[in-house]
Amino acid sequence: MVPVGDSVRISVELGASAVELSAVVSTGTGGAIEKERIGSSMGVIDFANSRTQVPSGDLLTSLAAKVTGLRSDAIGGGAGGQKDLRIRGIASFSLDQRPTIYIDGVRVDKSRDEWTTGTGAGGVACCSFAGGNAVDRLNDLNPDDIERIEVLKGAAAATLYGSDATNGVIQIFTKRGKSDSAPVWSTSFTGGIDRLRSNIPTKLYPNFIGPDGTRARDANTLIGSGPYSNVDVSVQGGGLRNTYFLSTGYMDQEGSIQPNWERRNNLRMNLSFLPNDKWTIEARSMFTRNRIAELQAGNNWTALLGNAMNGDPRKVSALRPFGEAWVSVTDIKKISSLSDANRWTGGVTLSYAQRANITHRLIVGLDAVNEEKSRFFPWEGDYGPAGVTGGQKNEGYRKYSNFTVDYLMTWHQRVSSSLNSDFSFGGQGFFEKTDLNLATGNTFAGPGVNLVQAASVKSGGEGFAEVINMGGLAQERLSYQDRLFVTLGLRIDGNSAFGNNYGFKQYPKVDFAWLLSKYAWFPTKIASSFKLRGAIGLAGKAPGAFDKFTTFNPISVYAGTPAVVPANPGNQDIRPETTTEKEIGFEAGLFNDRVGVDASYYGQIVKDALLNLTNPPSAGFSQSKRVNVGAIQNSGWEASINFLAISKRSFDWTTTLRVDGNHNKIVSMGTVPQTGNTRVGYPVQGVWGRVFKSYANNNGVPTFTLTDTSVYIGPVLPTFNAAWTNTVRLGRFTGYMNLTMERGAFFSNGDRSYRVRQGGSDEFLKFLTVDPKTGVWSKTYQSDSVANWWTIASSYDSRDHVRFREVSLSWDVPDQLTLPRHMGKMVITLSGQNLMWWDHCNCTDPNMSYQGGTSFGISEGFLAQPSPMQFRLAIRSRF
Amino acid sequence: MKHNTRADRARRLLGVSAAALALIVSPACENSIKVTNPQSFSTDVLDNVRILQAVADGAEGAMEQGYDLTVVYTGLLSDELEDSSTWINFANMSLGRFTAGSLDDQSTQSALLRARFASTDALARIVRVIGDTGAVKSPMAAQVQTAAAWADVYLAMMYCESPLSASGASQPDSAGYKQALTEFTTAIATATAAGTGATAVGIKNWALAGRARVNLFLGNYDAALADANAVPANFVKQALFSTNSSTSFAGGQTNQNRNRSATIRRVWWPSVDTSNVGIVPTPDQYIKDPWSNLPDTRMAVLHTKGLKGVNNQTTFYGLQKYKDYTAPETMTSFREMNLIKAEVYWRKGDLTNAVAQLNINRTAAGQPAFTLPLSADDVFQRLLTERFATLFVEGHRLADLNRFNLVTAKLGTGRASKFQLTQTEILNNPSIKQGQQTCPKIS
Repeated sequence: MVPVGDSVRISVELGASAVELSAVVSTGTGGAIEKERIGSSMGVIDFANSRTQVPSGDLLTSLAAKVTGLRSDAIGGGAGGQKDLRIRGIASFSLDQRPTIYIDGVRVDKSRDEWTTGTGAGGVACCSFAGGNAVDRLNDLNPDDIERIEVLKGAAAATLYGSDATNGVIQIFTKRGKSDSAPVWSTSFTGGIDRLRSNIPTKLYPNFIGPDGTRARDANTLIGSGPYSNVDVSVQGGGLRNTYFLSTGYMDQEGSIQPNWERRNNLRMNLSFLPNDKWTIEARSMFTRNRIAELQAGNNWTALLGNAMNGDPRKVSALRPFGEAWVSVTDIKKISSLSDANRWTGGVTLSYAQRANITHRLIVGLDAVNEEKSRFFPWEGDYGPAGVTGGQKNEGYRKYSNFTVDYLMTWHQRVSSSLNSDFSFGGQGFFEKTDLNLATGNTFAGPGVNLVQAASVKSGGEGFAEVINMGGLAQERLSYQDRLFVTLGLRIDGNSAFGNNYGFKQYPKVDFAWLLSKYAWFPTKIASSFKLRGAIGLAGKAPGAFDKFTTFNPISVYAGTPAVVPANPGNQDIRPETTTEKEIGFEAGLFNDRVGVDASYYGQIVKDALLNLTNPPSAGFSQSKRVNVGAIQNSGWEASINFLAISKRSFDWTTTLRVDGNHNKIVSMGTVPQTGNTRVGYPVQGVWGRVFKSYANNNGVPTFTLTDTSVYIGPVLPTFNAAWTNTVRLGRFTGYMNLTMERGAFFSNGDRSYRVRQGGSDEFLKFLTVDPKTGVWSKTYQSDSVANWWTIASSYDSRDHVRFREVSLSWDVPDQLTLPRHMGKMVITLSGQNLMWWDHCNCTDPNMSYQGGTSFGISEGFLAQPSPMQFRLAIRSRF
Repeated sequence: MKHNTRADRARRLLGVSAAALALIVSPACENSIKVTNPQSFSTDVLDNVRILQAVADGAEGAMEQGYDLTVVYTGLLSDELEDSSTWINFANMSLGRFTAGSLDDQSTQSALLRARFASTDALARIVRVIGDTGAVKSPMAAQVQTAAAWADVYLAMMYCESPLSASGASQPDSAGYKQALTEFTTAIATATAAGTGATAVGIKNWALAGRARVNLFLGNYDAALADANAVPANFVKQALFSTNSSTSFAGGQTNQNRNRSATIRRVWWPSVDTSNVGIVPTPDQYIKDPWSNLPDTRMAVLHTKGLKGVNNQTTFYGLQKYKDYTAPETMTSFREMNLIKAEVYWRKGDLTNAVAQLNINRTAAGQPAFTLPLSADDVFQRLLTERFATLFVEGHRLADLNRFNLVTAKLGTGRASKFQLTQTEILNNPSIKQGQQTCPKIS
């Protein structure tokens, strides 16, 4: 007891820990639970903290190299462009590989394809808006609103998500207010630049002069510094029975190659209200307006950098100073390609504690996207190679909605003194609908107009897709003596893709978590905590909305006459792909939890994998029949070591190594012919090609031949990934770096051979000789060798590289500098991202791809623009 | 105070659960859980007499789109066109270098085979809906029978071999001509029975023109002459395109305002009168007639100074025959019938009538008439040049080079003389096995 007036000093030392077993996570439909009780692998990202360390522009860039098994690579390189997001490699021949995304329990739009693909309106109205670098709708989210992200990595973890869970599930949780708390205002101001690395192989171009006296330009001279700015203001707090979190943000990012920019406004309101001790009501609302000037890149006649770096410098002219392959850079810069999306995502969560041990939760939510895309070729430009004469205007509207209804009941019971039960029961419904309208106007009479209506030839198209997914689940979690946890679960799921009866299918799971360190015999001096875990579960993947049905497509023939032709042969017996995943692993805290180790091995067998059985053209139907005849084996391992090397009052050093490996193999293809890059015994979507066979000097002509058939080059995804992060705190300064490595992947590098065929590329030009008197360049045997080889050959390159992915330095500004000036608690961070990489790829970036965001366009790189280096200075305050 | 029994609690739990589930299910009731596809037709819906014309037009339209590809690709493999693109498959066609398993031309054979399937499927549907007795005198039936026959003609002219039925075995081009002959004969009978309306007569003439060509190729010269004579003067059948429907591939790839992927072959460049190159806008230019040395309006091109193909390397002479995406493409015409007659007369040794037939086309094109006397070889050479000029990039030249064994003479050795059966068909047709194909024949 302390007498009034006296004081006692109490020192509390908070021990730092490298393990997170006691952290509470939400397994979504299974309800919240401590991580130590879960038997499957799960990644948790403290996103708010990660964002503070490296304030990049978008969500997906921030996800890269943060969780083992999760791939989030920026490939398109443009502001707002698509990313390749996937978990644990490839587990399907033909279906989308992107994980299902939830924000606060509401399933959301994750699209990133050009509208011409998979929409039903493809090719009706116009071509792509940005070639292979389409807008990624996950860029709509404001990263500053996100508190944490949970990654359910595979079928065993995500079984309860049913027929869309094969690819894993990413759950995003946004920030909430704090009860009984005064308002806390947070502000962040971030500025910086994006800049491409100047490594395009066109540096010899200025040595050449075109027929009209124009000196050729190096494509690297197009590289600029795109300014970046971001402002975010939020307030959070709450009373005894309510909390609030309100935020608003604005981001403006310009690409290194312009025109290309993204301007995003966000407004969020998260409220919670406890009317009494039994009810909790949470309401969330997010509005986004995201405008993106799309980069012209990818497999695209008007790819800006692609035209500049694939030209012939000996044929430049004043109008084409790069010797542009198809369309001049000047004319491409006149193209306007805009995406303007308004998006509302929100919902209400009702929680009812019927009794202390029985709770009910109902989530009703909606993700609604209204998006407009337009592309305008002005009348005065020369766009003939792109099929445009006299200008063109494409105008499109996409209306997307996904309505989520999710109910869950949990019932905790103490069965005996040593056995506890948590029973869950619930159901979900997802109602997803996409409407698409496209219009094209071709050929204006003259300049000054830019509407479809002003064009002389107009056409339009409309697409529609609807998918309804419904299911129910039951789960029993048993805990024995608080050290052995066993979970049994069953999901029954149906999808409208299987017809009116929905083809309901069962997906069972079982997992266990065994806390061995809670036994007396366990050597806790070595391992202070140790959890052994294992899981087995099924998950599904539904086919396309209308794959089941035999259909004839309407077409317009002659000069506009309606007609009908055979299209989809359909498959009345189509079923979902099912993935059975077995996983075993452990999590341990060593040396008083100073070292945390997490390791997993998983093996997936995909059965009933959907293969596209191509109809022989003589049998009419133009589309392939989707048949459940394939099988894929996908396996891998994941490990991370988190080491609190030093933990002193003013000096911390934490180092983390995350490594993972993944291999997949086609086990069966049924009766589907093995051709192209789909063959039994090899990886799905592997890289195959004809390679060097022989060389001869035929009377001074270097002559090459290729193998008669394609040979296997390698897998399309890395078989080994590593990320090494270090965080060092010294007084008020915190340094952070993230170095990553990828090994094992290959791709078809279209640019390399193409550039030589066009008469360009430094590797060809360096062998030409020039007559100093006339200035005429002549071929040599070496230059002919390069040219003749790349005329017939394709380049297959390794994606192996080491990348200096992130680095930052933060300064926790002393209060005495900020508080007197009413600037609150302030942290200033200087950071860089994607600063450098080392590879032996004959390309500008080993992660290049011309369709980076689609699941199956990653085997080729062509006309892609690499990701820029990003430099940021952020000032964050709380007061 | 009332104590809750276990049963009460269970009842309450069930009640709340049921209410919550009802909330989930309620929006999913009745029509809201039925998903329909509003952008495609089911096969049942098409069994309707009011839709049959659209089905028939689909078959013919698909065939016309296949023909559109035929024009460009046979031009590239023959001596009409040369690659000026950035596509390796255009280069391969232009160089005649196909390897086994080549994917260089999957599209044309696929399009024509699908068109033939659409035609036979449409005919079966017509019979199903209007009955056998109605079908034998139906213009729609005649239309799809003719479309199927023309698909077989183009397949045989372009490919060494093709399957002649859905998933059928591969057959040589001569078998394709024979099948087309039968189909044309059936179509002519159906069109004749359909009456004397403009539609029926138009289809009949189209089928007669096709049968004339096939009879010529099969060596049935008298029959070819009879059919050609039965086709009325000024008859022309064109494949039509518009930006509201399908667009002309030839218009998109061979015109200087478009993709500039195929130019006329360089052997013709010196024959082009480019004296007007400096005029803006440049008027049409023409390949000169080899006999009169006068510009021939049947072979209009356009070359502007310094203009390269889209590959930025090959000098470009754009086709003015197909100026745009909407350019119609002549599939057959009375002009072709004159050439068929001329060839039949030449083969019979009737050189006078042969030259007379050639002169009908020449004088119509503003070229001076050929005058006799001429030797048989002289007439043959003129027949060749007249066929080249009259049927310029209409899909004939490749077949002519093969028919007259001129591939080596005109293009050199080591070239594929025709297109090979496509990999798509080989791999997916159970009646065809990999490695059994007999093409391409190499010059």
